[in-house]
Amino acid sequence: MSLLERFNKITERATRGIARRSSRRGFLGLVGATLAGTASLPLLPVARASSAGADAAPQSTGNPQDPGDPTTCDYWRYCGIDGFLCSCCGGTQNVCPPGTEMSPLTWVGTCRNPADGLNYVISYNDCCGKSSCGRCICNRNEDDRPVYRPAANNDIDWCIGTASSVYNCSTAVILGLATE
Amino acid sequence: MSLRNIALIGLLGCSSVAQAEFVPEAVGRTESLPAQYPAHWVMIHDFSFFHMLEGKVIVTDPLASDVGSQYKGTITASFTAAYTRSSARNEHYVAETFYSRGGRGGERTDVVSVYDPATLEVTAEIAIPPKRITGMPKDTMVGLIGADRFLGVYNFTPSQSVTIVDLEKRAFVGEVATPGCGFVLPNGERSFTSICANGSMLTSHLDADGELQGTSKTEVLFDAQDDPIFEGPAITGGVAYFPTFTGQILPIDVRGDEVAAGDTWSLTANDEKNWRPGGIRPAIADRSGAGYFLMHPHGAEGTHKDGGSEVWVYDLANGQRTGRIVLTNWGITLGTSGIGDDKLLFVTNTDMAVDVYTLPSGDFVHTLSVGGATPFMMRGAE
Repeated sequence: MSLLERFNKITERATRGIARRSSRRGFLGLVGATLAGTASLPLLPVARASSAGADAAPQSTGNPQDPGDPTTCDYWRYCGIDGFLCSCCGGTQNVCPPGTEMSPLTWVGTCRNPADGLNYVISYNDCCGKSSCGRCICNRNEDDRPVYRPAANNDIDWCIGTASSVYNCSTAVILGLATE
Repeated sequence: MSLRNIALIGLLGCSSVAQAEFVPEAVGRTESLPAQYPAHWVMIHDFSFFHMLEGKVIVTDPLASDVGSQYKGTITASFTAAYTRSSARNEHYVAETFYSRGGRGGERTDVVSVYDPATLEVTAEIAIPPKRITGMPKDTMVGLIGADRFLGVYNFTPSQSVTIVDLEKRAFVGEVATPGCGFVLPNGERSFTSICANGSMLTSHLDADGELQGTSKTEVLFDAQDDPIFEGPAITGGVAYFPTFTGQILPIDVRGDEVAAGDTWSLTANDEKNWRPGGIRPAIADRSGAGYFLMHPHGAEGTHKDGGSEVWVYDLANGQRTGRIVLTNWGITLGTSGIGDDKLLFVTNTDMAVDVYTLPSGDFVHTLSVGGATPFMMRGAE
């Protein structure tokens, strides 16, 4: 499915009301350029369609048990992520970009892997110590809860316990299978 | 005299006339603003999400028709800062963070910067412990306590506490531990309340010097896992109305030194349960007692930051809906300004521009483009 088709599918379901009142240019601009962070940008599920660029070739993990494109917001393990995808910033879905430091503290959620239908525990560690990457903004909020429940919140800048709290991008590290 | 010379004399004559009327302009001049802002002005906090160290608060005249008159001036707000202002003290306050090496870190310094409203110059800088929370903005990350004598600043390390600053003495007072609870909701004569992870609330009572005098805690007031309250309530008439993710309202009376929960009620009728509140700041109120909630029609798990296509208006004291404003553009956060019948509603849209509506009519006025990349919070002047 092309990016545009995916975009249309996602937005059609969730944002029918918006589409009636917003220009296409506005939507595409939003997808290409909007934000949210470790902090978040409530950009509707629209942000799920964000990618590094419309001309970029799709990527894969190379592992059929870990399906999807880690540079796109609808990659399965990003179901609660909020920020710039490290896969677009010099890192990967589970490794920080050069010169940054991965936060030892963060929140964890669970996402369902479509390859086996099982739920996995995902740790959304931020990469810290360089200015915001600014690419591939992604905001999905499954299992997200308010800041006063920090162990389940993606609004917090989780660059805590690192040399600098300046936020660069976010990863999604699989910790293990979730128990029911 | 040749024709050429006549022409030359003519040109010189014109030149001397123009020179006589020319008054050189002075260099080094700077504008200033009125000490008392018109009530409809609004402070737009550009969170600068893509360049977090470069945040700013833009003093704005939202009704001005031309671009130059809309933008009145800039207050810097470094690294996911928290902003508030005191009408009583007529000052701006920014709780912000600086790094000695900018984006790559270095020594961290947290301060409360005090700004003069007329000059927009820093009149005081109060150093606070370098532990204020950084992340997406919530209006309860700072709070004015004790008739605006003190400012509370929410800390997260991830241990939670509140820094107390004496705005009169321009001094750091101390740090109040709020274990398991976060945020600053001022209440009573000199107290503030924090929201706890188990659904209860913790109230910290300060003495006349801003030191902790004692604490008290409510019973569990809401289901923090299955239907949590948003961090920021709509506050009017001494009551903080907290919406939950599914659209219930939990009223918390903040007039006394002990907060008191009222009966919950719902924003939605039984046939409207697909509508839910959502956004960065989905709930605001004005002094008339009206509450405004940003609503989306596809409510489900995970949609609580989606913003909305409508703003629903309520008489909060009676829990009655009085109107629905269909937005011109999808909105992600709300703000308001003005008093009496001259009130405005601000809605940041998905193009990151601010749409202006009149209240109570809900009529769309125009879209502001003040250069803010991510205008997440908007606060009126009065």
